[in-house]
Amino acid sequence: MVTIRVNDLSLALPPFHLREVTLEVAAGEYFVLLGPTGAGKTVLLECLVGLLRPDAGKVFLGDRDVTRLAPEHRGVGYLPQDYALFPNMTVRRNIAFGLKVRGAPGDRIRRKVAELADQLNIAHLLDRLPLKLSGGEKQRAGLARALAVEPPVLLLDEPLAAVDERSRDRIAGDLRELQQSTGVTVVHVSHNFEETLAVADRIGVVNQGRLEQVGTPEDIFERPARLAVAEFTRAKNIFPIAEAAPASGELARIALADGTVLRADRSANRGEPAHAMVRPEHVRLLPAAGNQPVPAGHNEVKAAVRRLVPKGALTGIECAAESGTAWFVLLPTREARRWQPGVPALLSFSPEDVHLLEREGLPQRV
Amino acid sequence: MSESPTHHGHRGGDLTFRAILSTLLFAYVGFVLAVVLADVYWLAKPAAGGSGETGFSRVLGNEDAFSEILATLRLSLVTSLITSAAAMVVAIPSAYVLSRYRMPFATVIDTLIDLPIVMPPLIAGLSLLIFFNQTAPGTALNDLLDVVYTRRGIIVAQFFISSAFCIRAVKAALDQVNPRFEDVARSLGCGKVRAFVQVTLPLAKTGLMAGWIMTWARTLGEFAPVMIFAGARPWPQEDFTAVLPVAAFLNLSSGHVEMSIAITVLMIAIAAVTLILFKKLGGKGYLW
Repeated sequence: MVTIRVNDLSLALPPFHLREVTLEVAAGEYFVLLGPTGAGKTVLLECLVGLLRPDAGKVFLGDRDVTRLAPEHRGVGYLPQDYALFPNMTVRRNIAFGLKVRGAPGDRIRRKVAELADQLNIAHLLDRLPLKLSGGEKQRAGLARALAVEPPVLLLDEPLAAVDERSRDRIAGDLRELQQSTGVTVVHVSHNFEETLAVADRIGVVNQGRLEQVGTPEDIFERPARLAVAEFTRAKNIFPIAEAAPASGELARIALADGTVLRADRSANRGEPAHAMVRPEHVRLLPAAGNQPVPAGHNEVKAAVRRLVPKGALTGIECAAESGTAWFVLLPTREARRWQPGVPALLSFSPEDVHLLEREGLPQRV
Repeated sequence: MSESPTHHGHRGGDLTFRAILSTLLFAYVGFVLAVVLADVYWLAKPAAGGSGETGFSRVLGNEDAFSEILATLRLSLVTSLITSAAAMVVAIPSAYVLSRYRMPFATVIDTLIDLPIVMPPLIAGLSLLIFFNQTAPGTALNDLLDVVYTRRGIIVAQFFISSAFCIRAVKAALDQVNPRFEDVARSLGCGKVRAFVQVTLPLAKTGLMAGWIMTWARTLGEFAPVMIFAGARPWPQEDFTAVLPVAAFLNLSSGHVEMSIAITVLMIAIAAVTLILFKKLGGKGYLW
């Protein structure tokens, strides 16, 4: 178990550009680098593996400055995106490779291969060639190969991307369990927000070569710092702010660009807010002329149902506010069936559920 | 193995279209076959005058002719094996650089590598001669190595062209190997060289073999640059420099047609065996 520290790391590798990334991953932590394709996540991971050398900044593994160290001297476990199992070797020889390189004695290699094969449930695959394996099997073989040398750090590049949709949740769970049982520090690169929720202790969102926000999955989901992060978590109901009353202990008055006025809790918010965000599942949909009162102190927005978008267990309801702005509400499908397009409604949500996004380009706080 | 893109079914109206195109294809293939068989026919045909002698019997029955073919074949094999081995030694690192690294002036370097391949062979020979005979670094090198009009010159002339060809073939083989394999090997503790030798080389093995075989075949057939740069000293002179194609040409110009054609048939046979080996190894592309 070892801490990973990255200080002011910059690397220009057109079209990618890492800009002054600073990050600390605690020993034994499962850390996910999350971001859209081309954000620079893989470049950052390859700086950790040692395949790329940064233009500026430092990388530490524990107390060791490894910035200028070749991959073979870092001792990190690495699983690239396509797993890159050596195609001319059986799974057994793939797993044994690192130990052979280190000149480990034969019986130790045999024991370790058997132990990992057992742990990862691939004992029946040991004599197969990688070509004959499914995506999930390849991933486990690749993990076993990386773990055979007992690295203190495991670096995974999109480990779930080549796994079929149905088994992804289970395999993500297995990954998490494996990390817990070995205690290895994991950095996992992903472009899929949902898959990371199940595994991550903390998430770092990378966008355009910058680390936008670091936090627990809940932080990132509920309290994204900036627009880019919010959009990446597929948040809806994000509206530009025309004027925000200064933060005091009290609820602040926020005027949106479309004229709607909301009350918001600004106590968690230090920078200057640029957008207000309300998660669709936090909005209650009430009949406009009903006898169901809006809870005291809640925001209310007059709107009309425009259409229903079923998503299986949940249904999205798109509403049009009086200003014309579209609002989204997410309801359990059974509840949503009570609503029809054209019906007037009242959107109600608590001031705590109005989350404010900071203006872009402010210095990050990690 | 990838699926062949050939359509096996018959779609309406396609047959006529296919027949017209195929006619041209078969006409050309037939032409190639006819040209190749013509040499064999010519050698097997009884001579005019009814003596019953054929080109074959005259060449094989004549001790001198037979010795010349053997000596020439030996010279060709020795020089082409040395050359193709040297070409591989240069090509593997060069092709690795071209395959794996971004380089400044990549286009210029790429073009320069293709130049010996595209350059008319005669011009290549002449240019080599000018360099080693007329320039200061060239003459200095020649003083050291003694290559102009010598047997060593055969290797230099062959090497000049074959290396370019070999780099192309080796690069094609290395391009097929995902660089990620080396990355992983390095994360598992292999140094750069060890990762290349233990991971990439075995994966590129058949491609490299195919590349080497085609380089060798190309080297064996090199004519104009060898003749101009190493001279065309015929067998049985001491230190003769006539390799197979040069010997075929010399015999033809001195009226020994059957000798010339015997050598031709020998070279066609070697080319055929080479091609079969190449295909067996799954070699593709870069066959010029």
